[in-house]
Amino acid sequence: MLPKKYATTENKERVRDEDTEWIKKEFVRKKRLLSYLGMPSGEIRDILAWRNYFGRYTAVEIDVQERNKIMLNAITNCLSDKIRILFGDIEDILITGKDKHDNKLQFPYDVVFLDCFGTILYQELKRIKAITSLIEKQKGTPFLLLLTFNIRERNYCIQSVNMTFDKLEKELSGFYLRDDRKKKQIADIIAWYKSDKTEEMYRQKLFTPYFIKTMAEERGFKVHAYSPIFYLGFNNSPMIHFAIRLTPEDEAPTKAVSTQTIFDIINLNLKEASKGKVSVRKQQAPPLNI
Amino acid sequence: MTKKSEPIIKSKDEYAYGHIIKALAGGLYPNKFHVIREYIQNAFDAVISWKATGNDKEFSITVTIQKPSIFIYDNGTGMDRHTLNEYRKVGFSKKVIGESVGFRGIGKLAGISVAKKLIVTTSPFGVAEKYTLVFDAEAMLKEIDELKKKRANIPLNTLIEKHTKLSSDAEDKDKHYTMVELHDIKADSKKILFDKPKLKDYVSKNAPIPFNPHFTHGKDIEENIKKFVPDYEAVELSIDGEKIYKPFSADIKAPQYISVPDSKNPKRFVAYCWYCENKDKGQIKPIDISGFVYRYKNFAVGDNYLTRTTIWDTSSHLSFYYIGEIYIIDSTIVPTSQRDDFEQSTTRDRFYKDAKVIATNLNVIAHESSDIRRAADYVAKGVETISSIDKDIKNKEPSLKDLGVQKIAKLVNVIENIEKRKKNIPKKDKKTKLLAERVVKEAKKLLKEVKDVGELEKEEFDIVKKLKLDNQAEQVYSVAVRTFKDYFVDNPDELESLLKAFHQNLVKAFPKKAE
Repeated sequence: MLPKKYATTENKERVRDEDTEWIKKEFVRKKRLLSYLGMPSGEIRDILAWRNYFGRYTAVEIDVQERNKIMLNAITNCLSDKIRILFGDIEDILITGKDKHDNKLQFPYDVVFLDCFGTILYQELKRIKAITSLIEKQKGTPFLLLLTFNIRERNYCIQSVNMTFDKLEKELSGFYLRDDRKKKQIADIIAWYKSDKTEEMYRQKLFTPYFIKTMAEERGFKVHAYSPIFYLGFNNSPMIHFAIRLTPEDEAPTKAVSTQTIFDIINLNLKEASKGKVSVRKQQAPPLNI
Repeated sequence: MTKKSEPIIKSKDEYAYGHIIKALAGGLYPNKFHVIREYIQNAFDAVISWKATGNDKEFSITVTIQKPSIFIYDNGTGMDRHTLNEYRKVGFSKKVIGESVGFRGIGKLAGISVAKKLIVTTSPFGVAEKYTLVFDAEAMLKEIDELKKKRANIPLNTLIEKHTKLSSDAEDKDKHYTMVELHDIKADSKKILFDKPKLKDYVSKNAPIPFNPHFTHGKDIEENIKKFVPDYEAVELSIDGEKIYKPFSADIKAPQYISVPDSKNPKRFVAYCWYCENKDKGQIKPIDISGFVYRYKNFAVGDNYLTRTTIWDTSSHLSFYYIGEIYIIDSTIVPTSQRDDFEQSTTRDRFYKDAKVIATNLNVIAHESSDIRRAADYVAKGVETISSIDKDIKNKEPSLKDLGVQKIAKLVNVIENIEKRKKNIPKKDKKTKLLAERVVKEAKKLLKEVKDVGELEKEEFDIVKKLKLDNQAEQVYSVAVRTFKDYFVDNPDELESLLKAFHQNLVKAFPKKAE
């Protein structure tokens, strides 16, 4: 039996299939084997599923036994010379660029997959600092950022999220200073996202890509987020998965401008992996039709 | 009725206590690399056992270094739950002396001397499970130390039960392997064990691995060993993805072989040796790969100095003129746990005595080779000397007049050295023999010509006459030549070069007179 906390589910497999398509595109675009940074856990399912597209892997693991399993599976699958395992907390490693045994991350990576408990605001500033550090260290390299969050509990400071949504509202309203009707529509939508009644998956559907977009653009990356996927993981844990492509903008000394606008991000559909397939979820957040 | 004797230790007493672990952790292994060798040894035994079942064709041992751990993996038999459970038993082994490389049941715990945890994961063929044993050495040592402060002791069983954990997990039933992780290498071992080039070097010299495919004679040697060493086996081994092979030298002659008979029963052989002699003169470089190494089940026992000190009575430096291995065939000759020698026994002592046949033969060969090489060197040197003198004569070189005596001495030397040593040139080397004859003949001819230059005072070699120097100039010339001779009395070659340059400059300075 697989340890319960790392057991896979059919839904997770379908999400992986979706990611495989983005990875294939990345592979075709770059015309070479890719590099991977992620948290594959002992069974290294992602690594095995994508082995045709990757030439090197950096796995981060904090658990001694899981790390042992990663190595065992890497060896039995003839991947031990391509994989480096950094031992420790992913956030600490992203911030410092190495683990406490001086194993260093080998930037840049083509695909970065962070599979974490909690959202981007988990542990408040630490995760944000880690993702900021990652984006800074990836400078000049286009890459695919895959994020999976377990959103069973709202384990973050709601004020921080609300502040971000307020900022978003201000930014959007700035386009329609003299149009009170549109400003009202924007305010209503933001209020919906902030509402306690709104399910967490919808809040994250907007919050995470918007947050990454803002942070990455300031660091010279254009950002394109694909439709997030909601699914029930092991033990029916609610999970949300994001695939975001970051492309450095050559002539952006300060801030990059993405082709995908904030309006596009707000109107991104939420998909769902369920019963063996991924489809657009019936219930969606209110659209911004302006 | 006789009174029953009291047992020395009552059955309810414990026979072993925790400090045994401390002793093991403290260092049965002064060389930290020996710890890695212990696990390679176990991996080797597992692979060979699996090979004996005839199931798979590809066998390998993989060593991976990923700080803070070292992983040693083999695709051998693997262990079932019961066998892995026995891993916890200190000094317990079902392996038979002579059949397996390891047999003491101590080496399996060698890792606790360098790592904080020992994690063994294994799966036997045909069982859809894998088993993991975690041996928490750090926690054990901590507990022993804390108890010691209170003058308390913990029974070994209790200690091991408390700090080891055996678990199982699902696995593909066709898989069979064992992986040992030396987890979190201790501070005092890190620098050594994480030095990958040194580890690779150590493994290449000690492990039972194949000969390097680039070693021209490797295949022949291996085929011969297989014929004469019944338990010879070599297993592919890689460290961080790089295949490791035994070291070799490219500048060596074709391999030769010596079987060592048992003096007690000459029909029986106790060891088999292959060797290659240096193609060039002197010892094979680098020194650490030269000489001979004993091999027990293809594992090195000791280094190239052990053979040198145990079987070479005289001229032991000559052992480094060769590269080779001595395979132990007699299974009663057993290595020490450190693998730095064989356990002291009458069999071992007799073996060392019997193996001296190798040293005796090789010393003769080395001396013969040395004589042959020396004769060839003198011939080559002779060719050089006569070419140079012949050129001087043809060029009417004035220095011949001043240095005639030296030239004569050189030619006499050439003749004497070659005459004296030409008998050492092997008959089959007709080319060198012929050349030696020609050099002697030519040297004798030149000897006469050089003598004539001085005795007949040939004018064409006399720079004073050639340049029609007046008396004063002639005197200056003589003083200069005398000074040069005095100054370079110990360096005739320099003197010759200087005189030649001096003569050339004189000709340039007095061109009309020279015409």
